[in-house]
Amino acid sequence: MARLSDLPNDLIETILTYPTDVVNLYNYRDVCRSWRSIVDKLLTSSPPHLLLFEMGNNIRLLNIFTGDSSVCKVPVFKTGDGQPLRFPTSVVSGHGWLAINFTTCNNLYCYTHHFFLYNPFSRSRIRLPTFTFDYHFQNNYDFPNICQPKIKFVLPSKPTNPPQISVVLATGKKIIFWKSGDEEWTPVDNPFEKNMPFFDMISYKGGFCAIDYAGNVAQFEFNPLPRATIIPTVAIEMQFFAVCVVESLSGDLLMVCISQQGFFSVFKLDWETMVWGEITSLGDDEAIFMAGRESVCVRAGESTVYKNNCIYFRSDGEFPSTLPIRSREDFGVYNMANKIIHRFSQPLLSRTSTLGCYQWLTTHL
Amino acid sequence: MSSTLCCSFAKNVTLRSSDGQTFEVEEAAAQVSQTIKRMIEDGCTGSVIPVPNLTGPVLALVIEYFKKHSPPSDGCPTALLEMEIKDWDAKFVAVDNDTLLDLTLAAHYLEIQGLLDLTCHRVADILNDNSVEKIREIFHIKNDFTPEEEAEERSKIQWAFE
Repeated sequence: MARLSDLPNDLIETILTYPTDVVNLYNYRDVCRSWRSIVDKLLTSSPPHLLLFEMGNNIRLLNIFTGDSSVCKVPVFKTGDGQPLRFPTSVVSGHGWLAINFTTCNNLYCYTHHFFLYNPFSRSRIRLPTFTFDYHFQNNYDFPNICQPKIKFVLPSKPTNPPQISVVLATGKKIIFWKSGDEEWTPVDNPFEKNMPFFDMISYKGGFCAIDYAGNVAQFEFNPLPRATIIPTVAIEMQFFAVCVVESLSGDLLMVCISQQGFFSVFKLDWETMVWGEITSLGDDEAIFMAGRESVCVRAGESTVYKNNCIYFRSDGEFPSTLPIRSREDFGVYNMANKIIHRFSQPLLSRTSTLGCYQWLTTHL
Repeated sequence: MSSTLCCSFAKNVTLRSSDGQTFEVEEAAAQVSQTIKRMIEDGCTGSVIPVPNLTGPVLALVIEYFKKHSPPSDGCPTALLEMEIKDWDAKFVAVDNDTLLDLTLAAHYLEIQGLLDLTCHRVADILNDNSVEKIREIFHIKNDFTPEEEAEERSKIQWAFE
């Protein structure tokens, strides 16, 4: 009688990837050692999935290279007093977790946000405290659109010991912070001069940092009390539109900018001189997946499906219409070596209603 | 037997399983297997072809597959025939899990791409439908993680789990 363990590894690998369902693939890690090593190998070479939040409470994880996708249903979440919540207003991702936001309306200007963290792979879920926001007293910059607030959940990239999760919710000017055990969100003062908005905030080397539009860096500490320190940088000439900040695989802080002509520029912060220096290459083995709210660096090169030195981006929506990089094609790849943009379409994207919400979800934790 | 004289007739080959059972099958049908095809081309047809990795019952099943998938004598397969074969295939792999694995291994050893696709797909479907514990049970996989490793992995994935 044959046993599955009699099958050679390459055959098991073939079987495990047959329907490329990343959620299932993740479960197979727990079957036995040899499966774990096979799955880990597959996951490292698997691209960040594009997370699409669809009508009908589905979250679709799409592999933009193959078009394969898997769907997970958003489970039913309940408020603290047991009221079921349906139809999230937004779903964003951070380091393998989904942050799901349900919004209930108190009156015309006052909305309560119910936040949950959900891990589609382990199916763990965490209820965060609710957060009530009175938009009446805020200028529009903070929350440009209630349905798709430009909020960003920032989760630490590495587990902490003792296990503790901290979440930062950033909205341009406003930062609120929560760590496991807290009953409420703690507001953090905007550290930037004149309450200037910042354009991105990421988890960086176990901590958090935010960048303003002049390239200044603010580092945050949340223990015991939230505290922000501004590290002024030598200003770069801003003929650029800054798009995202991302931590490279080697731990550098990178900022991706786009010029009016549609050229990408990547700057790296030199922490000694605090100068943002332009770099012309990401190295032999890195590529960037860019999205407005969550950009990731991935291993690229020959053993992977990505080209090195490339920036993968979605062409629509996120960018100001004045930039020439917007197009009807769904995706673009900017090659830093020859400064050429190659575009490709993903039919599934135009077919499904995605409620304007997309994120890259990396599957290897 | 002189092969030059009977070339217009269907030529048979004999396959012998690991437990010594022999089966006669048309040469054209047996060539669905790339491994057997190579052996025939290398001139092994005169004698019995040994198939040491397969037991009699499994080889019998594989030969059924050969017969269904041998190239039609009148050339192009029709759409109707293709549909019928597809139906037949689906029924063919609707077997118990142990037989399914035997067939998968057989398809792998004998390099029968169509059968390999079919069985792998079926195994993948079963995996998709079941929990980790169930998968181990169905396919007799030993859980070789130490309790510490399991606990560690859980804390790694669910580090935020309250």
